[in-house]
Amino acid sequence: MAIFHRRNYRRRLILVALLVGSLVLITLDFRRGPESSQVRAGLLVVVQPISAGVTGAIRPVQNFFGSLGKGNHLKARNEALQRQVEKLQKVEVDKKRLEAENKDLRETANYRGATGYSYVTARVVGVPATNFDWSLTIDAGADERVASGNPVLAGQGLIGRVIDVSPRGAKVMLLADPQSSVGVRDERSGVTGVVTGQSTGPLRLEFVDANADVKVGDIFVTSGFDKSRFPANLTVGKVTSIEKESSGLVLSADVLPVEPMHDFVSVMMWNSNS
Amino acid sequence: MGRWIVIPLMTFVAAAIQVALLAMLPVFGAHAGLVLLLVVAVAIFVGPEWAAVAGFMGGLMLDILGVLPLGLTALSFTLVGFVVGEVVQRMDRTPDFGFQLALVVGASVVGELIVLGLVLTLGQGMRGVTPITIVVTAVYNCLLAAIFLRPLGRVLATRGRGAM
Repeated sequence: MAIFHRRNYRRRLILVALLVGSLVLITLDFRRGPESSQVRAGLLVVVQPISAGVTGAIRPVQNFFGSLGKGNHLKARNEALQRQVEKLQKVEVDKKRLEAENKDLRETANYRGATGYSYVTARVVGVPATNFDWSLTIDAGADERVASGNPVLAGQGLIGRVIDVSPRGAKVMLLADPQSSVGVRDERSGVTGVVTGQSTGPLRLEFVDANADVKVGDIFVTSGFDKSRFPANLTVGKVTSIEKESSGLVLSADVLPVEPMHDFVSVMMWNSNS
Repeated sequence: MGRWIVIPLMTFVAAAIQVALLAMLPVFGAHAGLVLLLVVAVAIFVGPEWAAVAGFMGGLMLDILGVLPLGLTALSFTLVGFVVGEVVQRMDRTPDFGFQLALVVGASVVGELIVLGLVLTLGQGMRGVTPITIVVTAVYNCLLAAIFLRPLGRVLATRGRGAM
């Protein structure tokens, strides 16, 4: 009987210890917000290599499941990419010419230049794994000078920002995350607003005057205002519907990202350290 | 190998497979919970204290690899693992397979509801989770359990020996 009671006591002690541990972690981490906390960054250093190791081991299976039912999509994607390569080859020629011209002009004007950006290409090694998660894991990290807050791009558009970094990996909060918000500008009319994530649905454009010049089909890009997380002119999405709020003072709109959120095999990152 | 090695190892592998493989196979927006399945298996075949430990470790790993505040999924899975383990221990024998599947369904629903409750408490909204998502997740986990629960049980019964 005494042994039974002792076991019961120990069992409850373990439960209480684990629950208290969880609550302490929630409190510590929540106070820091989604950006990297020391605790999270430390734990990611331990967990990320294990995850990456398993991912590497099961890559062929992952590729198989990832390509299931995407035959037609892949063919169309392949054609689109081939067209894009041809276009980019032409752009590359223009770029070299413009760089040379720019260098000459800077030397002539004795211009020192502002902070630029460099790109790091990364492979997506993890997509949202639970119903509450709207993040990606990529295989580029601090070793490649990736830092928390870096914008993450895929194809033509912005898809999110880095929130946690380990030496060889990073976690990206997608624009679809309800905690994500971006200052944006209508490329056509210059109207500004804020786009927030809505998990499964399109992004939501808010804080726009009811009489503002916003039309269905307009492309919104990052505003790049002072203290903004993102540089200006990164494509965020296209307006698909507009509605006036009941107050009649402001309007809101659905904004569809230019790239689908879950089909990436790589992302491009902007570093602000060049 | 004792439980101190087998259970943490299985938990890490389950979390990594869930993140790297099952994450690519959502059904109607619902994701399978291999970690939760393992926690329920540990609860059934080992006991409540180990289920709580597996729940804490597996949940924490999902929290680290996701964006939810650290400890949120860990708290949910710890509770679920412990309660399922207690339920099973109050029975005189190992529950039959049908009841085991029912435990997986119940654990899925309760686990999701606990996380949802915590997320709402922290002011993060529903994060895209609907009642349909919760039901589909439970069915998805039940199908996974029909395939993996028995093999997991065999591994835990033969390899997971040793007291805490």
